Amino acid sequence: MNVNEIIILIDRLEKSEISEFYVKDDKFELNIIKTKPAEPVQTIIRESAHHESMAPVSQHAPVPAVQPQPVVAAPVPAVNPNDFTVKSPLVGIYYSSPSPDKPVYKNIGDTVKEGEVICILEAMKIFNEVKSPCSGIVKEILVTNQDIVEYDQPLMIIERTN
Amino acid sequence: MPSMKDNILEYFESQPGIVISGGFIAKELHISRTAVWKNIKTLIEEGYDLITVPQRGYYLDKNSDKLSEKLIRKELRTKVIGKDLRIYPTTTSTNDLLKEIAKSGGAEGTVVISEEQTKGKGRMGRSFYSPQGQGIYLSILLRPDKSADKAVSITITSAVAVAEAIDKVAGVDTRIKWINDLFLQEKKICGILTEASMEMESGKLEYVIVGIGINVNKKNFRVPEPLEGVIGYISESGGIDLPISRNRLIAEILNALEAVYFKDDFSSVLKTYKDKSIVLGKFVEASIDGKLQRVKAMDIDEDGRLIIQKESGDIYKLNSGEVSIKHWE
Repeated sequence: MNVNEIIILIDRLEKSEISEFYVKDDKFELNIIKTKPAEPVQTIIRESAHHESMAPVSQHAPVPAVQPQPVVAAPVPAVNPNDFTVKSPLVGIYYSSPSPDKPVYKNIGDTVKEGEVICILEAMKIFNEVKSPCSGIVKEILVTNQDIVEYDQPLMIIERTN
Repeated sequence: MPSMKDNILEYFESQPGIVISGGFIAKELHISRTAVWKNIKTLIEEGYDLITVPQRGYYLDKNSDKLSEKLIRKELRTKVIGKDLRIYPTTTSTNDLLKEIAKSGGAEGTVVISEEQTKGKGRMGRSFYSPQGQGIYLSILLRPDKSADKAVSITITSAVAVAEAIDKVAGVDTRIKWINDLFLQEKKICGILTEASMEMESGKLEYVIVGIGINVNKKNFRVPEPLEGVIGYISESGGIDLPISRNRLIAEILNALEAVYFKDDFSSVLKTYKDKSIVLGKFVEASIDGKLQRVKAMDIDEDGRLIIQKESGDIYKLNSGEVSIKHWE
């Protein structure tokens, strides 16, 4: 199971009535507990050593492989049918400009065309140019330069114009 | 269509060190001796080490290491990578140049190489020192059918291909520092900068540009101060007296990359990557959450994450953004 899958799972559980979730296979064990249905979920991940070169690890010590992140529902601004929320397609670092000495791709109020680069997301030293899925005006930018962003985290709101 | 100039160059490149007369070439190619002379003059202006022997002709210096498509193709065994191969005397950055080619529909496997870069790029605005003639500055366009969160396999695959090519050509044992730097004798000899473009909704990669910068042969210039003692050159760090042929090394990099990239056997690539890792099993000084800590590098997982153990015994899996390795022992 990778980080994205866990994040998606937490997201699903958050919205469900299930208060506890447990899964186990030969090398992985995951336990998610919701203390009160309304509160953010807690995550405990246990991963047993599965590589010979790894030093013996106490088999069931809680391993903070993934920092338990309080899952916060996406801020929902005043609903405008023309608003499009650009969400992060991956876990990575958000950059607002092509490089530190270059101007930012987009400021609030700027017009944006479909397919135009709006930011860079860095994941594992790969710099991904992210292109706008629609044309419109940048209404809100919800992250700041060099923020670590999670999968599906809202980055920008674009008010569509046709 | 090769130009007349390329045809003339081929005579010299196919037998370096051998004197060939202008009259002979003129006769072979059915052109005037003046035309031969004019073309040779142009080649010299372009930087080819063609030496004039009065009354006899010209020869190409055996130690000449000018980038040459012809010489690269002589050793190239690929079908896709390098099929379209473009060499430039100078450019700002091969990645930037190739990005423009990618945007206008450039094919997978297109390769751009430059004798020098005036704005060679490193990570986030840092520069990559790219002086003329001493290194290889090369970018490769790939169009993998992958989602962006799986792209780390391309960086890892590229690092392995470049390391194996250097080992083959120079007879050395190149080591890899997680994620994408290559080292020889504790000196950085190569950096890889991967840039990509992705489709927002599907998360799929539209294209990936693998930029490779290698310090090959040190000439008698001083390395800029902040890099002194940090960067190395293959010939120097590898203790090799003769200059390494950049043309041959380029061909072997493309051969090695094509072999591993299309095989799609990431677990065997990852095994080689781990075998060549400079940090695994060692204590590393890593900056985690802004704090410098001494941790043990344990393993690298299928997602390219570094698995480390803190002194408390806790095990963490780290993405590149969460850690930067300062020292290892």
